[in-house]
Amino acid sequence: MKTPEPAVAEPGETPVSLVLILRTFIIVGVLSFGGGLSAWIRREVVVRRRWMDDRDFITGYALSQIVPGANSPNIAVFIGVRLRGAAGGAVALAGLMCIPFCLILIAGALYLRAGGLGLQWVVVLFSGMGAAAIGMTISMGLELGRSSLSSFAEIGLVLLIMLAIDIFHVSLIETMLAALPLSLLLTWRRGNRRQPDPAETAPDA
Amino acid sequence: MIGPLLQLARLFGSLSLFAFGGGLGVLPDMQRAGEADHWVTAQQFLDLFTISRIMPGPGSLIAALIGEKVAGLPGAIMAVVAMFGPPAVVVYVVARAWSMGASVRWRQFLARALGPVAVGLTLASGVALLLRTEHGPANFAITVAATAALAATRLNPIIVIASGGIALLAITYV
Repeated sequence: MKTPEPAVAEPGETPVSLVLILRTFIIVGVLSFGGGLSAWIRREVVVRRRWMDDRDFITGYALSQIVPGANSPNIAVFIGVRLRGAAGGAVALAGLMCIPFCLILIAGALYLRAGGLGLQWVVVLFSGMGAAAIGMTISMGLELGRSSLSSFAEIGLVLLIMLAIDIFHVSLIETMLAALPLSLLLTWRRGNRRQPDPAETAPDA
Repeated sequence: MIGPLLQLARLFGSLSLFAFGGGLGVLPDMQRAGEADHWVTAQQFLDLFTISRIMPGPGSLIAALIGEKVAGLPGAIMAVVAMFGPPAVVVYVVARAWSMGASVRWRQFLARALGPVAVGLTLASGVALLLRTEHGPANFAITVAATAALAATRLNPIIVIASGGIALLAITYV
């Protein structure tokens, strides 16, 4: 994956403005009809704005899956904190949640007044949008895989995780507890076997 | 008025810290607590979950709907703050430790190790949604087509998602 500039705003670089963080996450919140929130966040933050690269995003993504709470707000906070500290995290979370919160309250009020879901075609429409949005999650997984997996062992681990969750219905948390040490071991053995790959060393090395 | 708000805060605050692996794992507990306190019936919970799934935003926004049902707007705000606040603080601490505590080498090492785990969990959760029993053959086909379109073309996802909705409408009613 080509990244023309350093991935993350380390101290000393021009920081991303809080207003821009807010605006970006408001857009993500609005766009996420049907789901696929994390994929929308990656699209805005990594692909379009280049605030971080895939490797950094993956770290935040994995960490947000490890800690409790819904993934997408967690990633938003992680990205916000990485860009602008506590204020960045708060702004990212507020931006992500504000429009969906208002919309769901309106929908909830309508539902409570009507006493039922009604309007079957609306449910069908959104069910179809949700089905397509799952495609966003899967295609993000494929893109992340392309940019971050570099050995057959890693690909094997991915398949193992999918097998555990999708076929054997092992819980997410148990799968994670098993896969994480395995992945650490794999990475550690690779690191011992050979020197860091060219992407991690200076260009003149 | 204050009583229900405190109850909401206590319920969603404690659930939020046990919501490992994406937040929806605590749904059964949420439903049990909601029914025990006579906040929602089983059917209402199901309907509210449907609403939270089709509206934008994370599915755990169902907390806002339950809060709204119990105590109106203040209830909804309380429920959302309790549901999303505590995990946000945890992420803040982790992200800080990550940016400040870890050396570059250690960070690269962890990032590399987390890669396959994150990719695996992403693909697994996408496929799990695809294989869900309530995901009928038409929905299945739409998901597969959308995945192919998004992976192989530069189509804007908004177009792909809207097409999915229109396609299911057409299949259902035409």
